[in-house]
Amino acid sequence: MEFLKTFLGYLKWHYGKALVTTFKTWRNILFFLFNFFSIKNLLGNFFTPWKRLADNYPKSFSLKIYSLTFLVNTIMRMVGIILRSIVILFGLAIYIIFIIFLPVTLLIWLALPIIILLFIIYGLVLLIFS
Amino acid sequence: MSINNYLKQSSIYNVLATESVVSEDFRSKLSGISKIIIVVLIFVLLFFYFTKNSTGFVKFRNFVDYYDLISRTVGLIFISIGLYLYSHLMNFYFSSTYYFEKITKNKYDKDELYTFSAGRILYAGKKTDILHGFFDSKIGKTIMLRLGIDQKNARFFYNSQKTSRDEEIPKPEAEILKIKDIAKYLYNQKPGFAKFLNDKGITDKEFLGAIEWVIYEIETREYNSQWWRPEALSKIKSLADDWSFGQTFLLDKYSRNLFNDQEVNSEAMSFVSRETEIGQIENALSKSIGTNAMLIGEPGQEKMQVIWSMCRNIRNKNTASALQYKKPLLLMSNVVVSICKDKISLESQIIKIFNEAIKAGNIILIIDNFTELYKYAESLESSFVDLIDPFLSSSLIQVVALVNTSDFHQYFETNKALINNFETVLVRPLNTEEITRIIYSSALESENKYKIFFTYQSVQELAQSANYYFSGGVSSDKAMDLLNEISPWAKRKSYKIIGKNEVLEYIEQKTNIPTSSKISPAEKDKLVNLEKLLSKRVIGQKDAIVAVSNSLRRARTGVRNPNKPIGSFLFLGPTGVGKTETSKALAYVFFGSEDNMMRLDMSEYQMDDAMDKLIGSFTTGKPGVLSNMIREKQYGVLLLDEFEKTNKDVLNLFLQILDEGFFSDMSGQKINTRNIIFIATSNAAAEKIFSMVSGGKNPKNATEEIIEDIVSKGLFRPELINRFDSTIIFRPLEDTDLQQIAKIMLTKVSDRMKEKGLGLEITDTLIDFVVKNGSNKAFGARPMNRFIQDSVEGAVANLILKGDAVPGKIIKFSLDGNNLSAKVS
Repeated sequence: MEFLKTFLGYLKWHYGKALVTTFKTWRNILFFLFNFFSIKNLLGNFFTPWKRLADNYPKSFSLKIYSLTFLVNTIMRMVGIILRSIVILFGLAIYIIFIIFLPVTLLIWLALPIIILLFIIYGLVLLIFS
Repeated sequence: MSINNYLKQSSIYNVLATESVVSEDFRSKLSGISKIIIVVLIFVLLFFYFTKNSTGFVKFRNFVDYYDLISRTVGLIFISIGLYLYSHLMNFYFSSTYYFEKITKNKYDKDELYTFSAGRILYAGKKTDILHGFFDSKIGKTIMLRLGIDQKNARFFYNSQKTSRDEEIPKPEAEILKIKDIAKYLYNQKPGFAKFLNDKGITDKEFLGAIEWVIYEIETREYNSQWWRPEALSKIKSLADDWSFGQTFLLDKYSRNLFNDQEVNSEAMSFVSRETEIGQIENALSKSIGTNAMLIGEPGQEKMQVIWSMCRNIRNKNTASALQYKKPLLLMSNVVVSICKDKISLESQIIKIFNEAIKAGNIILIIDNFTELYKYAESLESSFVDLIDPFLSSSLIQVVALVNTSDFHQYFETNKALINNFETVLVRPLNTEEITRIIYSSALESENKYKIFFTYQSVQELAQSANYYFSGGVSSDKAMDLLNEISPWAKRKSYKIIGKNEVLEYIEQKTNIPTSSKISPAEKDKLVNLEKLLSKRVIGQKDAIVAVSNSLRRARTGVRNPNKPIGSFLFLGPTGVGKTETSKALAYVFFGSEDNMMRLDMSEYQMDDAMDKLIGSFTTGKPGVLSNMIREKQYGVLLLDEFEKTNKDVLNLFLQILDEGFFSDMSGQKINTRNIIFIATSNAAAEKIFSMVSGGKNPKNATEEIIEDIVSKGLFRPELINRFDSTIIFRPLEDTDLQQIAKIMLTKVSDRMKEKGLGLEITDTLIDFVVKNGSNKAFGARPMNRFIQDSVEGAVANLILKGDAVPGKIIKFSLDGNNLSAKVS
């Protein structure tokens, strides 16, 4: 009786509190991925020159220097945009893979007690009846 | 209600019941063994697969049923994987239901009546009682070990206690029953248990402290195993956070990224809250303009501890929005000073540094030792304040300047132009309990590294001793240094368990200050016979000797007030009656050598510069005589000669020293004087004492009258006299005393002559002659030494030069009229 109650208590945790923890873990992992690829930050600074490597425009107007500075700054912005786009796209891809993968983990979690039991029973069958 | 029924009311009961079958040790072994089996068997299968066509294997296959073997191996692998998954599933089960009471203070479910650790004890005692449950549970055993009580002793007590059925469940202090509540219950409701601990010298406070440490250890382990927490995940550095920000090539030369500091990345949980200080810094850095903070604290690591905690919050994204994604760089003033040699290079570099930080856009510039940079710039006649003011008053950069308290008062407090740009944040000094908590995690690291074990009392002693035996600096730094030094020392000494006594032994070795850990038989003998030992040198001053001896015994047995000097005495009496000799004798007898007596002639400290001379001067930067003296020798006798001659400020300084056991030097550093015996001498009351003696009155019985006399003359204030442990009156010496002194001095001469093979016959005639001519009313026995040198030693020297006194000869003095004549026999 005691054993049964304890076992039921475990199942209550496995399909109750632990499930909540699993969902929280998903949330944490997704939040982590979002941060890891700095998506919010990259989008917010999407058009900023690469690592802010931009020259200041001259105080007195000189067409040559002005256009040169404009060229350099545009190139740095383009480099920034390209690299940021790559990271954002790569990050989103990983993000999507995880989103797809997470329900699979949920299924594994739900079936885990049975999986463990099946592994042990199957192993015993092979060991004893081979 | 029985323990069992109480336990069953909570959902944790099921976890506890499961744990009683699948314990932590069991799970760990199961996981380890199944992992090894899986790996080995997979290799076996691979071996079978790759060698299946070899001749040897074909022969082997003829002996055994090959397919049978393969399927059995696969069967074993399946079972091992099942068990491996099971052990980890159980780990997750226990870990996720663990209630953190110390670290995260997370909310608990309504049906959780008790914490996990409290439940473990109750569960272990469900068939007996709470007391037995405590001793039976793993956590209870660990707590006992942390208190220095081994299994054998604990078991002995356990067996002596009867089981009490139907006892009350302890009442929780908060909404949930914690192990602390159980501990208090056991201590207050089970007299046998309290007595058991008290007999081992363990107080209730230490008992609760040990529990706290054990809980800390368990919780840190559990907390770190929860990889899925946002804080744990955020430790992984993000890929492109700094892509949107500029590079800091120049700044990198002068600074370091605090995110790389071990203290920020350490797994150890911070147990001491610095939230107030961090909150104040965050507020300052979040302002619209002038986003700067000045962090003010004692010299040492406490300011950095606050900064590290703040950096950890930034990394965990648990901070104010103005600090999100920011990179904390510590600008090292000493590097700037060493690289920039002149005014122009310093100014240009500082402007470049600030500009670069602004351009990067994500820098929090933390300036270490801000005063050094400020003073250096001033010394180059550069106006540092004007230089950085445009940056500080803007909203473009966040700056945190680290400043020592004394520097703040000296340089910045009144410097309105600078200070207006900063919000000042004071770092609260930690108390002993907090310092003990700070060293919990480091002590555990040392245990792993050196394979030693610290008891709770030892850790507590480290925190206390840091303050008590070492002067200056921040207590938590000193405690941490002690811990780091004691671990390898204990390893060398082959000490496995470090208790309070081992800590005190180490401190005694390091400082030469006898700690009260143990009094050796020789020292015990010395303490008991202190009066006798001192009387051999100090003649005719029995009362003084008794007072000093009592005070020393109190000090060594730990009865004295630890926050005051070992002893403080005011010796009043005429010149040459043994005041200085008592101090010397004390240093010799108790502290091992007369070298342990320091001496200050207080008549040298009468003028206005007396304080500067004693504790050092701000303006000249010259350290003080008293500060240096006590820093060099923290344990001994300090003789303050002619104490009445010093000025009022100095007397006030000693008012504090005698009362609180420390003083602050010119730089504001505290200097500990708690291991010093202060002896102040004064012959201010000499006339009064003489007149009493000539009137047939014993000055010993008129101490009050003598004190009133010197107070009425305005020499000392009554509150200063009251600060001394005792005011001792030295009476003028009588003829018999002087004879004894003369005899002692002549014996010393005789001893020195023996080294040259000569003898000296000390006759009554010689003694009387020395007393008569070598002492007087005004100077007591003081001229005696000089007289012996001139008359006795001089005569001996003449005989040696003449060739009369050769080894083996004895020199005898006789009276020739009023003169002394020496003969060789």
